[in-house]
Amino acid sequence: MIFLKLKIDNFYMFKNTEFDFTYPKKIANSTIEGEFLTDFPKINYKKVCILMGANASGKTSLGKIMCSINNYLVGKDVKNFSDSICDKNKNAETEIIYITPQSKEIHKLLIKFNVERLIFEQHTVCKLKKTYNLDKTLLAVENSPPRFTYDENNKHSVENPGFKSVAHSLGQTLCEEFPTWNYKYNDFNNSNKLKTNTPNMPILEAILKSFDNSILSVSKISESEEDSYIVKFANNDEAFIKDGKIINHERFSRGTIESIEVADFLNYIILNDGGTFFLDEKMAYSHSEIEISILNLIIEKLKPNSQFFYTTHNYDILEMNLPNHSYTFMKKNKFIKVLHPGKLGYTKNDRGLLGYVKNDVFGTLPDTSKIEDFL
Amino acid sequence: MRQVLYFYEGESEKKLITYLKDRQIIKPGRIKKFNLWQDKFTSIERTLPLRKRLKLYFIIDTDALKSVKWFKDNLKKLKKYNICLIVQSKNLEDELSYMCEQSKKQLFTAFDASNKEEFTSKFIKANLVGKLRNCNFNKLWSRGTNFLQKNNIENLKNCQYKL
Repeated sequence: MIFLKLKIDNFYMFKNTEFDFTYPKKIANSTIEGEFLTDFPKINYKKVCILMGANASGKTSLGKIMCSINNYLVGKDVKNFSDSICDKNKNAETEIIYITPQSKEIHKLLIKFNVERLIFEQHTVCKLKKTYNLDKTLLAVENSPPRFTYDENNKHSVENPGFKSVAHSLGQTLCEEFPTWNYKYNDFNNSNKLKTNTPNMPILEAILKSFDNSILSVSKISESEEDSYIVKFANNDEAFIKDGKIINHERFSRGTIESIEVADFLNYIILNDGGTFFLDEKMAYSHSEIEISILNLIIEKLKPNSQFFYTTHNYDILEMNLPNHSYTFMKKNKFIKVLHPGKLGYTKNDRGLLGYVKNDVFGTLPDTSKIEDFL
Repeated sequence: MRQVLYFYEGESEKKLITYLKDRQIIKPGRIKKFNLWQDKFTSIERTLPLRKRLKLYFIIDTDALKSVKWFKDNLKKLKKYNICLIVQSKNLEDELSYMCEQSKKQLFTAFDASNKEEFTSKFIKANLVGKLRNCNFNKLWSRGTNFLQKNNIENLKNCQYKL
């Protein structure tokens, strides 16, 4: 599925926060190919969305909400919706406008929860039309009558749905039959994807060798039934990777350890057609040039109807030759605010996005005064 | 300082550029792999920093021409950049033969190689300091104008990369 718009209220520190994953006008000679819906070239969506902001500005929280939405759409009981409600005395809600490319439909889903359960669900869906541009398509779903509503007056004999979609449990189709997504968060051992793939050895080896040039080879342990690999170093040291995890950590730098997960993520993108991919600060320990190089490779490998979200603090990423609409800034004062430079008039020709950020034009820089008080 | 990038096609060129940089024969700069004859410029364009003072040098072989159309399409996309084509007369071995005033056989012998493949593999691993001691680096990549003229390709007027 492809996220077009997302409103979040009272989850984490989001308060009526709106994300727009569309862009108005195609850019000539864009460095991102196919940044529109296959078969519907007038539907411009952000294929690459780079989220930047200070620490604790909501980047990871956004990934967690989006992942919960993906799980909700396939009918899972998403109990962590409850944990992520900010003000427990109030309801929390999210409105998602998204596209399911396989069924060629645009959907609007509004879901509300209290700490105990789902209390409201409304799903609207329209067929996409080739003649409609993005605005008209969005308007069509806004103006269409809901196909399904669950609330106090329309309980459909479901008293307590928990955190599960009533629409889905009653046979309504909310997303593709076989959706693809992969969310990798910055905290260790915390990722969510639908299936595991066998590692892509050449990619794993190339990435590991880029991180650590003392690595001579990475090879599968042939006698092992599981996915076990041996990493050989120039000084004859050996390290082992089993099911994507390193057995003897001490031989690797932190960046190299994380690169194994990045290689797995990249392989997932290569092996799957379309989908939602979220990589959250997984290259925080990488050299900037390696981060740029891997990010470039990920973008190159994205298939049509894919959507890639990437969070980083690295200023150099702002200097990459990407359309300005690819960048989204997030900041948190009391609540999280989102800024889309593409919508604020910073076009591709305005190549000074880094300068604006460094001059805190978007108000996204952290306040370091408390640290400086100790100087 | 102007940011310089050298794009090479094969590992032997990478080795030579690194050597030339280390010996301060050419300007300092980053080295990246890219083949104008077969790679898509967009795939590397995203990584180029958005700075006006960027200078891109492409070292190109002219012995095994693949798609001239592809090559020219790439050049079109590169128009907005400050680029310079460094044309090898045929390939690296020919350039080294000419620059070191050795026949190809003598060049291969100097690297203990009996054929092109062996030469490439040994060149990549070799310590070039001794091997290229008596070579005239002014002659390196000095004969590519014919190729550019023949294919109506205009190179930068100021294509200065040697120090």
